[in-house]
Amino acid sequence: MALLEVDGLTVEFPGIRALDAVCFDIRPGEVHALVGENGAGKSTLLKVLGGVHRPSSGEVRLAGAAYRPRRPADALAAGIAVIYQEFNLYPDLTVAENVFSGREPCSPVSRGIRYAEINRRTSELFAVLGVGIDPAATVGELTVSEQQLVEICKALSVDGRIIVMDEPTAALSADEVGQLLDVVRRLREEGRSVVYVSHRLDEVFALADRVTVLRDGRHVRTCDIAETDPDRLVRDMVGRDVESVFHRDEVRGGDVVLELTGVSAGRRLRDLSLVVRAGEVVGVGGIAGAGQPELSQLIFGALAADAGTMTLNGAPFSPRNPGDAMARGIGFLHEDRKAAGNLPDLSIRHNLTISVLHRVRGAITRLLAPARETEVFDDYRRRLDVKATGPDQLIGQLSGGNQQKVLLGRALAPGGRLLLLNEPTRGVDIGAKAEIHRLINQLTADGAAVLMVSSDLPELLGVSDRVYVMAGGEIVAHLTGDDRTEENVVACATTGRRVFSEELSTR
Amino acid sequence: MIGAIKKAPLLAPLVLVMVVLAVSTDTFLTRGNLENVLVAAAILAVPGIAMTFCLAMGEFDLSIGSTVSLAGVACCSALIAGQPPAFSLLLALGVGALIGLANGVVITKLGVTPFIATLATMVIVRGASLAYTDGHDQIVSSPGLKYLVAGRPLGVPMPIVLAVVVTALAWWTINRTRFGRWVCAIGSNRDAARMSGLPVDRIRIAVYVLVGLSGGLWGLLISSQLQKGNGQLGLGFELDAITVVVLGGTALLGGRASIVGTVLGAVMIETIRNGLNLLNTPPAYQRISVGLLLIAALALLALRRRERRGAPRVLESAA
Repeated sequence: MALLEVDGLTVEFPGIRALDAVCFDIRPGEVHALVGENGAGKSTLLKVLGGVHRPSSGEVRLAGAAYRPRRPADALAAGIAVIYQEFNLYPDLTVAENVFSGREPCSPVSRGIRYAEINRRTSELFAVLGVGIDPAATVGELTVSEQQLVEICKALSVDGRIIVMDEPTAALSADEVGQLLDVVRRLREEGRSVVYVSHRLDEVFALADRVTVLRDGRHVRTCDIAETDPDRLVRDMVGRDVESVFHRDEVRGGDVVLELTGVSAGRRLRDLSLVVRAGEVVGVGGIAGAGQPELSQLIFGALAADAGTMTLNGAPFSPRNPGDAMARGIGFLHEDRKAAGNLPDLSIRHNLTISVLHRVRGAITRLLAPARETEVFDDYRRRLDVKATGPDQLIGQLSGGNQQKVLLGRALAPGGRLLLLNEPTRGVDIGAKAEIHRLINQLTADGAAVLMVSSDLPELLGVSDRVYVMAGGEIVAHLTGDDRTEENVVACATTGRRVFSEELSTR
Repeated sequence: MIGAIKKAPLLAPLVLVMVVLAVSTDTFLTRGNLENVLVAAAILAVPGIAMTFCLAMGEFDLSIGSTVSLAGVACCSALIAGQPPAFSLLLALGVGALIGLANGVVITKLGVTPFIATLATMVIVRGASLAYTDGHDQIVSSPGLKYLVAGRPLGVPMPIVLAVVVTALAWWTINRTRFGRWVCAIGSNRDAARMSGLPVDRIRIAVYVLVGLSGGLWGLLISSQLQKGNGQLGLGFELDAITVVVLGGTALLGGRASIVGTVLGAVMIETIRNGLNLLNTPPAYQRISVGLLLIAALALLALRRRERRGAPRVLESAA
């Protein structure tokens, strides 16, 4: 009955047991969701299936026979395709070259790749998925969601019986998520099994036939999706009750902190006007690539404005670089922790204080004072509830949620009255997510202004007091009060609908 | 003790090499010979330390060998032209700093990758040095210049004094100053450093100026030893400077720096060179040995990294 059986699987790394006697099975033609907080062992399990890690004990059986991949190629040969969160694609090669990489059909005489054949076969595979991507396009020029589809296409090209997806929607916008879910359903109709790892429970309930919950490397339970509900699943994942994830205190917007009037910048941003007040969380939504991160970079001085004016606390503001913006008290969180957040070789203490080193120097010696640095760190560690063994731990050793808290601390450290937060809870587990939201509440209650870019719709609507929606580098909607609905955000971002609600007056 | 070995992994092989040399030669352990080794190591350690900053930042500078030559030539020409020694020494340091500044500006403002930019500077500066001297030696006899290598304040050879001072300053800079932290942050993740508001380009330029300056000092020390300057000075020195840093355990891709490691790396290289001399090995083999050392050091680093990442232990489960 079961296509893949995981039996007593244990994986040990020096010092930790990442997986502890995990047992579950995957049936043919099912979508099997795998959920758990960061650090629950999902990634390790995926890497065992993908032939990257080997189990310390226990066994995986594929169609009744022992499955012991020694390298990733073994997994592919066995029909198990793992699509990791970080894609394994060559950005400079074409879609078809990527799909058939390492298995290119060659002409026997010239040894040249048969482009006509790989392009045709790639097109056929995309047709199965119901998407139209040009096989001759360069992968680096595709959007993240299209690259995701290329990875899926690669999995199909080896005729993967089991396709494993790790957080496939983490970087996708709402409508792209819908498209991906359709693709997964098609895979199921084809009779393939899909292991679907996601933090987003709405996707899990929309898609999965069965769900397996892991916590702290252990198997908690596997059940039909009909036998559970989101609250129950969350309790299984965290092992305790979590307070309502989105809880926003009533706020009263104060003075205008930031105002943009007709600002254009770079190749994308055109004629942006917006206002952020003290004590407010202002959300920025839209499909990926509509210019939301660029907007925050513009305000942070990482992108130069070509036209229009910006004011900060009423005074003209035109930062030339992030240092300028920080000197004016602006904190910034980048949407990509790995690419532009973490300093992997530095300890978490040093990661946190890197932008405020002038504050931890001795007055006369001008040397860094480790004691003061530790003070600053301890302060933020308490406020943000960072779980770490000590200030000298490397940031890469923390879970995603705790890494994010350290980076939030870095954004807060300049003492900002204005925070630019890009995807503050991306790739963060539910517990840490709630804590980060609580912290945003607390900061705004203390009078800080927050501009939050989020592609997570429930978060965007639940945490923000007002929402701007962007499309094609322009602001296409301003939603307040009852206009703040998922439908409005999605419709404005993807169709011609425009909504500009009045700001709630009598502030 | 174990902690010390972990922090300076070069200590054990260094002791091993010394023991081997002490046993296999009569002369290695003599006072004069040991002093020779230490003076040579001190001369190499100074530019090595500057290069440590560069590698900790995730970049490197190939032009330092040519800088040695042009700085030496500048100093000697000035002395021959009758300039006072103090001016001549400063001129050489200025030449070095300028070359560093040029590297830094080309790399940060014009966006040329460090490998290509410093490779180009390397041939340009070498060419300038050869053109200026027209291929001839510029022989000087200056007690002021001589003092840099032969002077013995408090009985300690001057290069060792210099190296100790530079080592202490560099250690403080890396571990206790904002600049040092910034250098490591840039080496660790340049985009994150930029997004944290660090003046990334200014720091990078500063490090190249530092390397250029150390190249100028190195040129002075070499000219002081030889009492001459010419277009051939410092050929292949860039490899020496980078090798001692890598031997010392500073990550080639940046993010971490080991000043003490670099100093030990310099002692290691000069000990091996000295040993090969004492064992009457031809100079060609010394070059081969440096190359082999570099590969060995990098292979060792890679192995240690793999170990740290920790592939899980494989227990053969009963089939």
